[in-house]
Amino acid sequence: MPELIVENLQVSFPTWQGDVTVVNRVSFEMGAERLGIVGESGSGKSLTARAILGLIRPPGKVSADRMTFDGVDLTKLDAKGWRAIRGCRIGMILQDPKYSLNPVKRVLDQIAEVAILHDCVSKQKVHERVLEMLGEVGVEDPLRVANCYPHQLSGGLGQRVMIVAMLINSPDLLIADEPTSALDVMVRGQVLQLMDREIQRRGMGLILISHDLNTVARYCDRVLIMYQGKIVETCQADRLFEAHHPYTRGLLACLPSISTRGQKLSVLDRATLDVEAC
Amino acid sequence: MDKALLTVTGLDVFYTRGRQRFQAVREVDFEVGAGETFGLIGGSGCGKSTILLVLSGLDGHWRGNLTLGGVTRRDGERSTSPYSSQVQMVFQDPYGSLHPRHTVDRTLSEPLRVHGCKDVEQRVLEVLEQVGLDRRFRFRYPHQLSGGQRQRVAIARALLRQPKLLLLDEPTSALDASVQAEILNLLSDLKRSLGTTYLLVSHDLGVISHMCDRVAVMQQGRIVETLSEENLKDAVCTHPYTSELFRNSQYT
Repeated sequence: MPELIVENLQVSFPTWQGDVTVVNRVSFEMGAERLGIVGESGSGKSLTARAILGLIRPPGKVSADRMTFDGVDLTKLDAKGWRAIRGCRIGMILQDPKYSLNPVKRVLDQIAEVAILHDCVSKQKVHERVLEMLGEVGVEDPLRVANCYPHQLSGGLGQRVMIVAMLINSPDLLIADEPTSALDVMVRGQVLQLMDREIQRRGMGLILISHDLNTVARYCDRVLIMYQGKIVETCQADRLFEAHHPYTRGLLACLPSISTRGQKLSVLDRATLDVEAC
Repeated sequence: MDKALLTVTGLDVFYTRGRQRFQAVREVDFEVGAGETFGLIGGSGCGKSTILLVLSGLDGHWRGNLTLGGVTRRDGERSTSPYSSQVQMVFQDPYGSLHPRHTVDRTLSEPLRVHGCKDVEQRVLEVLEQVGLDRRFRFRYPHQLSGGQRQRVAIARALLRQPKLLLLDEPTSALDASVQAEILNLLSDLKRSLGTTYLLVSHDLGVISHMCDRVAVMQQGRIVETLSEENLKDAVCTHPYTSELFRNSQYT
């Protein structure tokens, strides 16, 4: 997979009190690997992903010293240039399939639309290909699902449809923004395993955004930890539990489990964290 | 287990749509002792939240017997004041369960006025202190509060009338892990100081095993297994669904 290079990415939004910087000098590089971005709500992890895909609308401001994907400068693309990237070379899976699928289009038609738009599959073969891919992601009755509208599907099925729509163009990079937080615990594992399998099979890159440390530790190679718009720590996923930044340690310690029964859970000491972050 | 505060026997919940009848809860029996924390766990659509709606009196499509603190309701009977004064509910999403145009003060004082409480002022300040909210939050609107603070307001509202049983419908699933820890600590502290009984619904085995004395595992409207604290500790279970749950929870 070609490289994604991000250097000093900044995203800010104007307010009455002046500009608020929500992503602050974020830099990273990635190749064909599985990169996790962890942080709590408002830490800027989703906006980082959106900025990479040019999805931040005015009045939001994006600036970067350098942001390239396979040599293409993402900071200078026009609408036409973006069409060649979004959905074709970089795919994105959002949190809730209920809101990210078109509610008035049948599943078959909306997946086919993506494929035809990017000339990845010919019109004659597209239906066949969609059914085949639905089968690949473990949908038991592809024909029935293909003819359903999104509201007729469960969350797990909806997310599988979303994955097919993103994979049908064989992108080089997949950005998954909390792909399973709207799903049931039982279905979560299935969807993540499926995503993981497809990514490894195709040798794609993955950016997995999540607030769940365990998920990221299991499905990623490398993890970036974000706090208040900055990357505070980078570590190998298998060594995540040895991380030493106080924020990461705090996040690890506050998880409830059977072993914390009857004890007080430790909470983040935000006052000291904020001092360090500045 | 001490004397049972809540006894549910043969609870069925039906929803009809045209001619189709969907049974959301099937023959559920359980008891919750006074002062206990009882958990309900299961996947989406297994009927765990439906049970809470029935218990809180928000749903009338049920059959069976509910006894709470000596007051019994049968077969879809509406809840009357001796029953409803003993139970309160905290909802999943603090963004949706507070009125966006009411200040915290109005949210908290309205139920007190409705029930003819004498010193509203006093009581509002008291519950705010109990849930660890500073007085300066009293005249704020929900959009001026963070998710954790909103959930504290929702808990304060539930505590106003000093219920014996608090129904907690996924009280932390909309919150971040760090905020979740704060709310769970608050719930444990409140339990210690007020002795309230909790019925906690969650899909997160970590939360359930941290909080609960006993847990009922639900699947497709039925309770398939009830686990004690020791069972949870050693991950001992007999039903295949429960073992799957244990396995999945190790990673997610």
